[in-house]
Amino acid sequence: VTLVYATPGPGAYQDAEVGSYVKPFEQLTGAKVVLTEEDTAKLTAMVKAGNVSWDVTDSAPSFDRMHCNEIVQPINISGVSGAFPEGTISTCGRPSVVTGMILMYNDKTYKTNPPSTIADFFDPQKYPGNRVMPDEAYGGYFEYALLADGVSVQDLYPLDTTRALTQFDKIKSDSKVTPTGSQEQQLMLNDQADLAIVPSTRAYSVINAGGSNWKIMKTPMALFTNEWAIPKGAPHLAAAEAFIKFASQPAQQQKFAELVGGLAPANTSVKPTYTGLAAQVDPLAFSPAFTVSEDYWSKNYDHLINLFEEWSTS
Amino acid sequence: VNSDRNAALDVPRPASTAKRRWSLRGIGRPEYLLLLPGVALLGVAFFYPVILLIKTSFTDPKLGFGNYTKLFSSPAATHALIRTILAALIVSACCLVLAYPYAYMMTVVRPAVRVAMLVVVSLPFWTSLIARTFAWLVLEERGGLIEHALSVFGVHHVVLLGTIPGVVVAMVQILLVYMVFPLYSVMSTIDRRLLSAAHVCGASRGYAFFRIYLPLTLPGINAGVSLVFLLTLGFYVTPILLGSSHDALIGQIIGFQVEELLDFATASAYSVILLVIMLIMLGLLLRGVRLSTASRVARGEQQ
Repeated sequence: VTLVYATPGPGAYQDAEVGSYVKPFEQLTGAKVVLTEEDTAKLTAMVKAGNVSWDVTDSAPSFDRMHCNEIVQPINISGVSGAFPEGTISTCGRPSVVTGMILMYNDKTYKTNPPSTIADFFDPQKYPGNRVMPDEAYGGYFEYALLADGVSVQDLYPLDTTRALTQFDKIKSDSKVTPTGSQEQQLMLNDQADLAIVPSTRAYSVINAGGSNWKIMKTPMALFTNEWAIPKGAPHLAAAEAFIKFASQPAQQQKFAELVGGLAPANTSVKPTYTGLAAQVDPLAFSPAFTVSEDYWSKNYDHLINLFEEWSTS
Repeated sequence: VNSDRNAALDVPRPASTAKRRWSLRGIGRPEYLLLLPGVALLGVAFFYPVILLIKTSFTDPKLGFGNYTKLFSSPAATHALIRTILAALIVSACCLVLAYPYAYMMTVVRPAVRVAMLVVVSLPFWTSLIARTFAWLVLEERGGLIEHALSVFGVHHVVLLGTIPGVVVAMVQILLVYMVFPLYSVMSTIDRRLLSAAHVCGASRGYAFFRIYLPLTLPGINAGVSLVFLLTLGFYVTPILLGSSHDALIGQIIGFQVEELLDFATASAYSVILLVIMLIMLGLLLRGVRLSTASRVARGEQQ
């Protein structure tokens, strides 16, 4: 069998997937796994045209939940050891990995009295400076704004978007939303930014790429998962389910997390050992850490994303 | 002035002769077959997708104007649209002001200098758009050359990166060549003895310029402004890299609809609106130039 696996694309993340899931799965089963770049627009087009070439995808959960039984299909897997965070397993998706959104500040700008709380990020009077964040509102932005305004983690959902946007309005003229994570990294490394909301894997790359002046703020952490799904009409259904089951097992999950910095295994029975920088950007090392409600987000996705976009482009 | 000169003056035709361009007479002649490859390519690669786009915008998810009302009920999208049109007007105006004297100088200097001027203006044209945009990024950023240079003159903390002026400056530089070339190609065909003739008849330099030279360059201005205006409307990379997301142009909004929301129908509707605005603007430009030329020529004939 030749299994086609659509992943977020080349980079450290994909290399770790090859080392921990893909190669071992090929050795174990004799199947061949071909990697391609995941793109939900392309997937939608393939399924609607009835000409599906992908067997497994790795992407954000909201899409799978919004299109369960329509673009992706129910998964039947049992016998995975360990446990997964509450609410991350759905009919059409299985969690693959946990990431977080880290707040960082530029050491060169705030030498004395550096910012330390989420409220500081939303306070341009106290901490003047450029704020950057990637165009990924689903990564906890509304949640962070509410936390900054004093809402407790338990009371986040349903999100009070008006209240959250009031916080965002405070930093409007001091902020830039970048269409890609790499652009954010470039602004950070060139000292064009002073404060940033950074995906945990990106935080690892920024510091690794010479951004040692970027310091991690120990604030509450919004965790969210990526997940595996199987497109409707995938050519190798049985092999796809076998692959997801294999990759969900503790041994593979541990190896994956240890190969790439800034990610935590979705399987909570695993306790990977990190060294150096990887330990600092481990999203589970922050407290309190809370999981972004995929259930709430998938039900309100378009509305929430549009609200944030109205803010970020006006 | 002999009859040839009259013919030269006649380049921007008065309305009566302009009509003849739309005649279909002679369309069956065999040389028109030469058009076939081009028309076929445009049909497959341009007109067919545009028709699909228009169809999607009216039929997905259901028949009607739903996708269009979405734009006009979204303040972000309407603001982006207005911002885009304003940016296009400002960039066109700046390009015209910079390019006009430049193109004029190209017609009066020695040939060797003209070649040098040609190379200088078209050099950026041979460099990739991304590379040029990144060059501006380095110049405009905090601690960049522009901030340093201005602080020498006592103007401190001017960071163009992330501002509308920062985007406009870069777009003007990138698009300047599209204004210089059409202007130069028209100016180089103008017989400068017309100006001498005007002086002989008693016209001052300024009067001769505004009554003789400027009207003759109108076709070049028209072509240059149309090109720059239309190109600015569709700019995507430069505003993303140099601007702030809060000053997004319509191209960014369309990109977002496709990439983040997979909402092809709304994106199609926005694109169709942009297309319609382009056509209206182009129509106005062409009409404006034709009218002013026609009236000038008419008045000239009466005097």
